[in-house]
Amino acid sequence: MNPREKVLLLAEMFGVDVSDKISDVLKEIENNNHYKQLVINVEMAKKYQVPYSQNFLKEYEETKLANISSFKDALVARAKIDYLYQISQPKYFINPIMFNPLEMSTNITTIGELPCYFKNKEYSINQLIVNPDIKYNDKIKVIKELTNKWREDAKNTVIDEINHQLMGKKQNKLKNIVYAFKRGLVFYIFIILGVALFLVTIFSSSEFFHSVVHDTNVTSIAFFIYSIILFLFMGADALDAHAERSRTFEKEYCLYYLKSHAYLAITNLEDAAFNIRELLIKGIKEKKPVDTNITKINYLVNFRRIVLFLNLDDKEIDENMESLLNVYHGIRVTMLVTFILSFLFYGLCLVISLLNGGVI
Amino acid sequence: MNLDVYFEDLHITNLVELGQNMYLYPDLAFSLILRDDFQEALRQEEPLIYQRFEELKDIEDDDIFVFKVSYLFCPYMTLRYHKYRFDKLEDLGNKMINFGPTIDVYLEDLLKNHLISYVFELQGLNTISKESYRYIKEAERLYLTNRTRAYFKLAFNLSKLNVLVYNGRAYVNPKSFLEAMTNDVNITKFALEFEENDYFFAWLDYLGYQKRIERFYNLVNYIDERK
Repeated sequence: MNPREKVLLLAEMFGVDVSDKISDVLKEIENNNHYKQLVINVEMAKKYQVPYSQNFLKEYEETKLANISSFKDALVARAKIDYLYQISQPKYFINPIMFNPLEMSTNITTIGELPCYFKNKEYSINQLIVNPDIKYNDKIKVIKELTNKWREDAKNTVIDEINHQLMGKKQNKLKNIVYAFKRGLVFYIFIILGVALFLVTIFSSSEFFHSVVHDTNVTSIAFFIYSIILFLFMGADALDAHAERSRTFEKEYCLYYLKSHAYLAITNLEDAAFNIRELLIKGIKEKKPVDTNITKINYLVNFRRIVLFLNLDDKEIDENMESLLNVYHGIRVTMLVTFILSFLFYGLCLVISLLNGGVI
Repeated sequence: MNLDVYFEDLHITNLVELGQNMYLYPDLAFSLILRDDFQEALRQEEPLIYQRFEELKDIEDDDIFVFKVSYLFCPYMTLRYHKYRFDKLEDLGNKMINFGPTIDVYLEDLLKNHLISYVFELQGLNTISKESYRYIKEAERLYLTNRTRAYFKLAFNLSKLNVLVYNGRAYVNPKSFLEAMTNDVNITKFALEFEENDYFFAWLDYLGYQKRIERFYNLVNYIDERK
């Protein structure tokens, strides 16, 4: 803090309005390279959430620039942003089991560059491996703790994600049933009524049916029109239902894949964690830095496959498909309206005919 | 002991008069009391005073030596030091503040060399004006770590003034002062000396804002540490 800021801070503490000076600090923050990098790091951390990143994301949310209303808060935010920048660096939350550093804004590419801690001091794994002052057993202990943490974090993340998605599917399923019921109820009622009326006409007395089929009167014309529209309406409904099923097929497949691969995903993850640990222990034994590329040993491929399907599940349907579905929905609704009109007309004809004791 | 001495136009006829006026002519008084004939006369006529005078001779600083000798000759008089005379402690406090934010070196001597508490103890005021004596002793202790803060804290405690006079203008509370100091004209200059401005902080301290100052420093430390 420079003396000028100290004066303004104290003035604010004594009730002087210094709000016009807040924007200077905010501007300084926004132009700060650390802040710019922090924003990038935060976006990455949001994308690859692990317990470590969740903690600093929470702190970041608390210092949102838009919420700052006092000079003190602006100074605290500026100070905190520098601190957050320090702790938000990808090296601290890269989990080599599941992250691809090539996709992140970081220079770290090999597993040996990742940080670890011995007696509260930060080392890179390679520094730890080659450090002659640290005992072999201590090195092994540090590496085991580190790899266990990576494994647990990765497991929790994958399991949480799968559980979250499966829970979501269950809820969606229930929602879909309710939606389908509400959406389809009117159609199903009219189909049942329409078919019932059609069957009543066919299976009524042979005299009546004969007069409807063979005579040329209003009731018989209404019956023919009604029959044709009924079948067209049923056809339109079937077509629309088929289109809807095609749309949800992809989602259903994803859910199936997710269920069938969940166990496999966890097993593969355990294997990946074991491989990383063995690799590092080998490095300690041979006292050689581990320059293996992170992407070569991680579980990313399997994790990605899961994520890919999860994303597929959520992806938007393309525009062509959507316009086709809209056409089907339109035809279905038009046919419903037409059917209702023909149903009412034919029903009216039948009522008048019956009231007159025969056919019109 | 009779004397026949002139300090410029001032005729001094005895030791008490000498003690009372030494602060006005410290250099002349210093020359006088160091004269052999003066000391011989003192030894013969006031052997007890002479004995104590001999003890004071070890004092290296001339002004302090003159001060203590003046109280040896006239123990019961108001505070007088190097051309300054204060009939009341409030006057001393006001005078110290008048020089703010700078420090007057002679008034500082009073605190630095524990001269005020010396007079208090000599005259037994330490048992009568206990509160003032406490302020003085506190300031003497604080002086060891922060001379300016101790100086002005004592000044405010003695003067009982709630107003801060700064560059000729009086401010009745910290808000009005800081409002003036944070405007575009003053802030740069004030900020430069802000952290060393013990005059201002002593005023806040005197007004009872210790906790707020503490909070301010904690906040500054927190922000600087995070950075």
